[in-house]
Amino acid sequence: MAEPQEVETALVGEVAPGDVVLVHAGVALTRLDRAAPAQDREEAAA
Amino acid sequence: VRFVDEFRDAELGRALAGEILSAVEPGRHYKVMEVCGGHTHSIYKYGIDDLLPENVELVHGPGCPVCVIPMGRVDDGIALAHEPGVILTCFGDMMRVPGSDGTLMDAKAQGADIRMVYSPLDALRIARENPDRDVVFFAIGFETTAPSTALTLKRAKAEGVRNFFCICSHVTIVPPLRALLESPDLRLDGFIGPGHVSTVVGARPFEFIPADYGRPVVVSGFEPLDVLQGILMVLRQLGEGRCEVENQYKRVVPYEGNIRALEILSEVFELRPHFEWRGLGFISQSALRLSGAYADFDAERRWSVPNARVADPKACQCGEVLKGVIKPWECKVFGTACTPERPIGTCMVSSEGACAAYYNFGRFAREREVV
Repeated sequence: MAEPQEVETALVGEVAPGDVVLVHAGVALTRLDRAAPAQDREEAAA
Repeated sequence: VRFVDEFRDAELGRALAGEILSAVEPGRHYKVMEVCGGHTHSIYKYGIDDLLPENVELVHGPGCPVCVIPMGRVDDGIALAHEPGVILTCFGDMMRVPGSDGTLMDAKAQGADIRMVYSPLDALRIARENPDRDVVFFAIGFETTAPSTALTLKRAKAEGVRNFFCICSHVTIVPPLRALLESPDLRLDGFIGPGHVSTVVGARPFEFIPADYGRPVVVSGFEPLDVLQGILMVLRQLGEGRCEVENQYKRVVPYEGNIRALEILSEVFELRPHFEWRGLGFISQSALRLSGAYADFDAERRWSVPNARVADPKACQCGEVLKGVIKPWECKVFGTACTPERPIGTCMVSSEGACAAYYNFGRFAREREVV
């Protein structure tokens, strides 16, 4: 099992188990459930 | 994997490729720049260029953070690593970027204490564990990475860590794009905007591109369907005579960016008057340095660094690759004297570099046949 990594969450607020965040260089930059993936695709195809 | 697998669907990819084909006008040549090195990597990893019509040309932009670091800046890092008592920390890619007299990896082999980290927070941990040493973090990257450095510096300040320093080489994305748009030797029709940078800065900063230069921008993600969709959205704008900033990467990028991150960046950093970019030369207000409030952590104030301008090796054409003027395979040393194992130029070092992407995903052989 991979060693646990420290992630700074100051930029995204409180996180709970199951939350999906985009992490770059040890920092969570944003939450990933902003829009459903299908919505992105539908908008582009429209 | 959620948010990954659904964006690698081959059937949807072929459908998007068909949409792209129907969106282009026969006889018209389209040059679209993908700004970010992450896009370049995806394009060659997934063979996206093979799905495009021949009259759609992708031009690689300057958005690889390692690639744009000039040789003189590497020399500055090596000089700091040779200071007595210093532990220099940096991301892995930086270890192999050539300076005028070797790489950080070479300096490490010669005895300098240089350690690879995955995050500035790792560098801060090393500083805590080595209170009798001075630990310097070699900070590189665009606005995507700068918040990580800023938060680490805030933490170091809050904890009263006195032996942690930063040589700040963070750069900003808008000034080089403006420089490229002002360049007379490059005609571009549109841009695939940088996804992860936009997570922090938002899509709004790119509004100057349609407003001042009449070119569309689509901020896009990095999975194959993201990139294809981004290209399609640019082509649709061109076909419909529209010219605006669109956001394909809505699941990640808020149009206004991450306000908290921007606040922290403005607290910890200030703009440098000018900064040298590999291939692009000096660009005004295109990089960050530590603000006065964080001067005690500034390695360039604590030690004297050479700060010399070093010309690239004559054989290296990274500058032209970074400006999109030539393709990687058109460089004189691509794949011969310059390979990922023994890079001469930065574009062959990082996985986000256009040359490394071409080389690693088998484009080398195919393109040489074309020559």
